[in-house]
Amino acid sequence: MFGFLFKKALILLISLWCVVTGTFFLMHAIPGDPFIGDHAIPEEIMRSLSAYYGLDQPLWVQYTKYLKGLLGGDLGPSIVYQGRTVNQFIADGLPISARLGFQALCVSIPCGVLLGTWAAMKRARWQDNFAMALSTVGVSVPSFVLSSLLQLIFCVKLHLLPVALWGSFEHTILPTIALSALPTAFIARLTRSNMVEVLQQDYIRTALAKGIPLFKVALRHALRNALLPVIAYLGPVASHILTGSFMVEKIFAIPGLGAWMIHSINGRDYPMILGLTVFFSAALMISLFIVDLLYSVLDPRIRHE
Amino acid sequence: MSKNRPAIIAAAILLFLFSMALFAPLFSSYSYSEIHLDLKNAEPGFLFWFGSDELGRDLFTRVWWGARISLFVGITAALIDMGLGVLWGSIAAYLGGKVEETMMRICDILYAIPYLLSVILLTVIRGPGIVTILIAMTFTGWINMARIVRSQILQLKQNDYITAARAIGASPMRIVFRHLIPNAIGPIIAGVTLTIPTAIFTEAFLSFLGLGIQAPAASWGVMVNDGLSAMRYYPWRLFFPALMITLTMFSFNLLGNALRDALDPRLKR
Repeated sequence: MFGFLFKKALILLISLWCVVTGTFFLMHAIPGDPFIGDHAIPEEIMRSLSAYYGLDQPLWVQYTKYLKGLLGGDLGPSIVYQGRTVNQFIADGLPISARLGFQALCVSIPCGVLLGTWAAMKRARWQDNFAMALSTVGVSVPSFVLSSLLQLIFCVKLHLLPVALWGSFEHTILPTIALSALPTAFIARLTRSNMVEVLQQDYIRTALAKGIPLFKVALRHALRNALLPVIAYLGPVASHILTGSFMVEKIFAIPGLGAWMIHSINGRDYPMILGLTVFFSAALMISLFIVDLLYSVLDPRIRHE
Repeated sequence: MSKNRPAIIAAAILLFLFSMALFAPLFSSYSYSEIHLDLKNAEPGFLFWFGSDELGRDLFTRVWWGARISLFVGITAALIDMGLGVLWGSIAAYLGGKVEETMMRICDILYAIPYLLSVILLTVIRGPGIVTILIAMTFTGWINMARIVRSQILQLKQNDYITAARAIGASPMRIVFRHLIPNAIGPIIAGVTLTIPTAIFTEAFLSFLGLGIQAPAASWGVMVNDGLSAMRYYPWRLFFPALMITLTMFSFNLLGNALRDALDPRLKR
């Protein structure tokens, strides 16, 4: 168990270091100067700006400084929004994005599991085909298409919900739906294929032979085993929600982290792109690690593979 | 497979999309960048089948030009992923031992890097363009294929005919490329088919963000982004490119899932 844990943790650390180092040097390899804008900047100011951001020092000095900052939890400054740091943007944006992501999980896990179980119980009948067609649609509609479609129907045509912005619970409904469609479809497909497999096992036949109704067997006996592999896929689901949030937050004008990522890309705010990339990567990798951990605790077989 | 109705429908839709992408721009009387300022935002009709955009460009022509870009990017990226993945996976699986261990560790490390973030980063650094998109998407995209191929070959390696081939002195290269890979072709094809929609989505996503294909070229992502701002009064500008992205991804996903189910004996029953 500890050997397994150690190996996973080591890979996590190496991957994180690769991301930080790769991103850092790539960002600094981009030709051009971050301060060149519409106006010519006097030599004097240019020098003090460079000194302020540490850009006048050799690259490896900047790198070690950056690493030291990272270890202390400092992700660096923003250049476009002068005087603000990446940490401040995260402090502002993360609660919003996290709430949206959490709501999306709360919608997609139960919906996906129910849809998948239903499809497996009605295997090869029209309900199964319908559920799987639905899940293929869910995987195939890009979140930016779904978001704009939802806006068109519920806001522009029906005037039921606010088009965009952030504030009340009503504001979160459409973004949550847009964000949860893909994970729901993903979980439904996975649950179905596991469930189909589990339902063919002997202990299920025994339970059925005893006269327990199928839906009760499916929910009480089969679902537990069928859900284990689904847990392993919560990592990819987290990354779906994260990348989905980039577009959904942009389209619904929500001031979350995803929207800031897009802003910093469009504004070519390199230190901020660097900081947010490192933050997102670390968050995703750590959540993958936790999922792995959880899975190996729940299913001892995986540790010996 | 031949009895699988969804797969056949998907294949038919794809055939239609491919032929439209190939031939529609040829027979259209407009070019994708031709501007008609007197005919801005025209409704779909006889003049412009899918309407026109804010510069009076014909959306029908642009949508099918976009199809060319999307299909080209999707298929090329999937094929590059396949080439790299097959090579890496088969070499690792065949050699085994320390080499395999090292090669798969490299995969693990690269795999932990979030896909879309690395794609965004590489496109930001290299500047927009088709080549950039392809490099960015295949940078970590091949790992999935490498894993599929490796696990397939590890299974196939146990078979007697491989031992027989080795006994009569076939070279490792010959065994890998003439015996092992042809027998693993099913999962490889299913993997490629399922990579294509991801690649198409990624291109549309990048273009949507302004990091992908640049104006005046017509990419579905760019067109959806343009259409979004005009959705209230000119919904067709959003509708047609959005429909095409969805239809293409849907067909590839349907076909890929059908292929995987047909080729995976475990799920066949």
